[in-house]
Amino acid sequence: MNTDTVIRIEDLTKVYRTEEVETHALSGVSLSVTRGEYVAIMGPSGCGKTTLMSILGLLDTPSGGQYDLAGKPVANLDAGARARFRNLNIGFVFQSFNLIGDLNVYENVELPLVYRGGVSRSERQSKVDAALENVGMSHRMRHYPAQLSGGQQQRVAAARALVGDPAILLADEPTGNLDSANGETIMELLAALNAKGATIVMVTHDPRYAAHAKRIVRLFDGQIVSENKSPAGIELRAGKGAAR
Amino acid sequence: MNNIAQHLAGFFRSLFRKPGFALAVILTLTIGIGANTATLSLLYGYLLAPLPYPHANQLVNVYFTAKKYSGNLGMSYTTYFDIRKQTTAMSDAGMYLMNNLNLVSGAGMVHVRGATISASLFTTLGVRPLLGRVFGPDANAVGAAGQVVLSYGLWSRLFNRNPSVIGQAIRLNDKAYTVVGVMPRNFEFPNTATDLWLPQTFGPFTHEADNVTAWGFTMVARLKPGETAASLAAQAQAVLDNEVAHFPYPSAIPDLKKVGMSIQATPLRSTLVGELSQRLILVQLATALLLLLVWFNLVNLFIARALTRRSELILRRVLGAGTRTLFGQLFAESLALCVIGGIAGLILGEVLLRTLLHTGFGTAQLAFPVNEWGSAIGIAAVLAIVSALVFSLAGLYFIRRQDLGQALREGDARTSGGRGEHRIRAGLVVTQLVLACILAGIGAMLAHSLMKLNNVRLGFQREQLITFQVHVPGSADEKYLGPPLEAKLAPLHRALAQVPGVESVTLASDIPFDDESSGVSAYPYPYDEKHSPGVFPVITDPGYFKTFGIPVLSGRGFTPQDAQVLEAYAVIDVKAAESLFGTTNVVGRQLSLNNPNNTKPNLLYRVIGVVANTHRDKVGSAEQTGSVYIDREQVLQTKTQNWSFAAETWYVAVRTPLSTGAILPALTRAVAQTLPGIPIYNVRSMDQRLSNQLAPRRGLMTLVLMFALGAILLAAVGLYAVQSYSVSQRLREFGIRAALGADRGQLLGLVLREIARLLVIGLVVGLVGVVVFGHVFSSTLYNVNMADPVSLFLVFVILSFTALAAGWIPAWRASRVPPMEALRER
Repeated sequence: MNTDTVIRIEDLTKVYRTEEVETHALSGVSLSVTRGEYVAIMGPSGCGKTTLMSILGLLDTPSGGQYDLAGKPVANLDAGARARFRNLNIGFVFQSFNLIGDLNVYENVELPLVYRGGVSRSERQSKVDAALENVGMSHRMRHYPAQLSGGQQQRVAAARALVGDPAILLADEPTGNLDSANGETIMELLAALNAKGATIVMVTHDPRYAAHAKRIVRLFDGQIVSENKSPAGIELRAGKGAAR
Repeated sequence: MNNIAQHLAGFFRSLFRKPGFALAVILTLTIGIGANTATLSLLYGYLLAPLPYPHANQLVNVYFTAKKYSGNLGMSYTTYFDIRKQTTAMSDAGMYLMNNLNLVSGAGMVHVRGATISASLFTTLGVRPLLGRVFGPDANAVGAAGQVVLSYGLWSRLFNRNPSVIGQAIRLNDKAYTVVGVMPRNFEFPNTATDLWLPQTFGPFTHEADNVTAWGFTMVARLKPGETAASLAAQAQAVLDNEVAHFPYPSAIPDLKKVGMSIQATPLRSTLVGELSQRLILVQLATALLLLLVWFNLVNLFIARALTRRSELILRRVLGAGTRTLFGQLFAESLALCVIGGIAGLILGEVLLRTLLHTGFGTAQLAFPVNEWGSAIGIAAVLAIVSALVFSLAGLYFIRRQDLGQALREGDARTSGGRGEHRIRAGLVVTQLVLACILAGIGAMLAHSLMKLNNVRLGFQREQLITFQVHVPGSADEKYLGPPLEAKLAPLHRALAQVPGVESVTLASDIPFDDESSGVSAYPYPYDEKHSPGVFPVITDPGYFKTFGIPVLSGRGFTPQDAQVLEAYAVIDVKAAESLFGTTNVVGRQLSLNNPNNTKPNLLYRVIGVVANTHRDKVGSAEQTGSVYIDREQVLQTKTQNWSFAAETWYVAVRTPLSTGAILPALTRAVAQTLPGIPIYNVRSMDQRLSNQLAPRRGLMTLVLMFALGAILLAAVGLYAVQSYSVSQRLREFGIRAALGADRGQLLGLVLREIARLLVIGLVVGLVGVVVFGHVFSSTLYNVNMADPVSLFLVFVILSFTALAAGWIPAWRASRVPPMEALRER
């Protein structure tokens, strides 16, 4: 395996079971993402994009298959270890921003460092300042989310995702709740972050925004059905499930 | 109106589908309204409602106070008659004195409580008999035929409500009386334990001018219209000043002036209700705190319900419902629940009230009956309506805040409930914690105080002591004193001592915790004007100290041989020794129990021993009175011509390892052998006497602790409800935090920290409240500081534990939220 591989999933499956129905959300998905890459995952509603992102983000566990993040197998970690790994390695940008309304901008961005523990107040302050500077929101650090526009809130969310220097940034429909102007700004921000070295996996259903990525992975019925290889040389294979 | 009815129908349908809310409201309200209905009924009945006599506001109690002694000293005959003759502010006046009597009728001999009265008492009160007549103006004259008026209770109990009782002959303390009347059922004067009324004989003694300070009976006066208690008191004071100035023994006038006597006149109610009024107010304060807590709890519940109905309420506003319409609907909903809670509260209140009345609210007797239902219905109705208003206004406030535009905007920017709403609800929880803390703190202080009172060193061994009273007719008759009385008491003592199981026995005129004890002044000999302390004279026998286990500290106790000695002996306790002589080294010193200025020749007692102090007054009373013990046999055999003290009622105290039930039949037989037909009464172990004396404090403590328990539970429920709601509103936030790497411990800590924050605020304010309210209750506390660290620590531990337990479940739920599920929450 390439030592620069940040994400490597092999034959990943996710099955939701109820008393009457068994739903295969993901069926044998395999994917690798290397450091500095910018991958867009596309597909229609219900194709398994969000499920894949949840598993990549250690918010959910796969039913089968293997998942290595930053070189370590993480598919079967317990809840506590997942939380710790998530905190150290993954940054999230959500469609609905998911800022905490009772915390101001600074406190929202600081939160991952607080949970990490062992980071001094001064170190936290310098990292938060840098992250907010990076997204152009330093001047609003004492504001509360309700006092910001949608685009500004998403920039704060991006700062929060980056503040802990994660191995990968996962963006789930980051423009879904924004108008086109603000959406475009956010996409430019992600592109700029990627240009500075951030590894990004983004879920989107909008081809215009997917075009910002260096590689596009398409999902359909829980399987990867196509890929656009980028010049950066990202390895992409169809999952075993797709071959059946 | 149709709209409201239709709305209510829908409201009840929804409640039947999900009855939890309605049940919680009704149950909580039942507790709040029930407790307050009971205590407010008592408060109204005893302190506010008119007394059951015509123009009762004109009735006053006229009495002496003195700088030297505390409280209401009662009235003396001399001054009573002078006030009647010389004042113009009152239209009539009467007097009464309570007595223990043996009543002999066709049903045998029974012990009864009788009020010896002036005939004018009935006319002063303005009451009429149910049957027969009351006493005529000559009933109090010397030599008048014995007449008695029965209470409705005694008439029912002893005479089966037979109307032909009028004219029937009965015997009271060996004297013949004729029943002339029966009083109505609601006339229980001066208290509910009064069985009958008989005329006091106003002999020559009652008119002697030197009896100014012979206080002891109660005077009731009726003011003339337009006159006030103050004007009567001023006139009576002038009468007293004149009596002192013209005292027949001028040398005693300086002593009289030193006593610092004055005459007071206060509404009769305060005399009848006495200390009960203070406890009523304290209990009402506690129940009012409980009601406040109930309201805060329910306001929180109604706000939570309004929040869960956010979309419905917004829709109603969108569809054109104005504030008035919405308030009408909310008020109708609240009122429907409050009426049910009010009816249930009324029933609970009635049960509680009857229990309080049945148990005497911690006292032996209640002053007079209260109207149990009439006021209770009114109180419950008012509380239900006020509750409905409070709840609907709270709901309306939150509906007013539900702006549609704001609600639509909230979705993205906010991940938890409105900050304002949450703050208000958290504030309500803090208030509940404060109130619970105050109630629990006061309850803990009362309990700690009672515990200390139970462990007070009484100076005698109260265990294995059984006591009762025997009325020996003629004991108070001076002609009967001396050997004839001893001829009855000595065989009684011997018979009791021979009962199997009796280790020792004593007969005494007075024992500790005797409600009817009366003190006298004692004088050291040679006389010293500076020292004339009040003491309790105890006429007893050589067995007293052994029976009560009172240690003799110096000298000796009485012996049977003392009866043959001509000199009178006394044993005194340390308190009496110090107050009389300023030292405890007093064996051989002499004292007198008569005023040196008295006309009678003084009998001097030589102190032969000093014994340990005993608590004779109220347990825990700061100032205990000293005791002077006199050998009954010695005095009866040889000194009756000089002896001013007599007791018709004798206490018997028996030390025995047997239980009261096991030994009482044998003791009763022993009394019957020596005093045929004489009943014994007031049978109690010494433990019971102590317990009875502590009953008012225990009653108050029990009620406050009950309310405190309810308050803690309600506060815990309130905290749980608010935290559960808060967690449910913040699921998404917890998901985000989990996504950002918060582990379960951190999420658990987040919620528990919030609970701890509320708890700390509640405890800090609450503990300050305990100290503040503790001042109000300080008069009922014994050796417990207002900031009693034991009580405060207990409250801190109990409330902290309860609050954290109540908050643990929502906190645990928050920590188990799967991040993905939480992030999907909208």
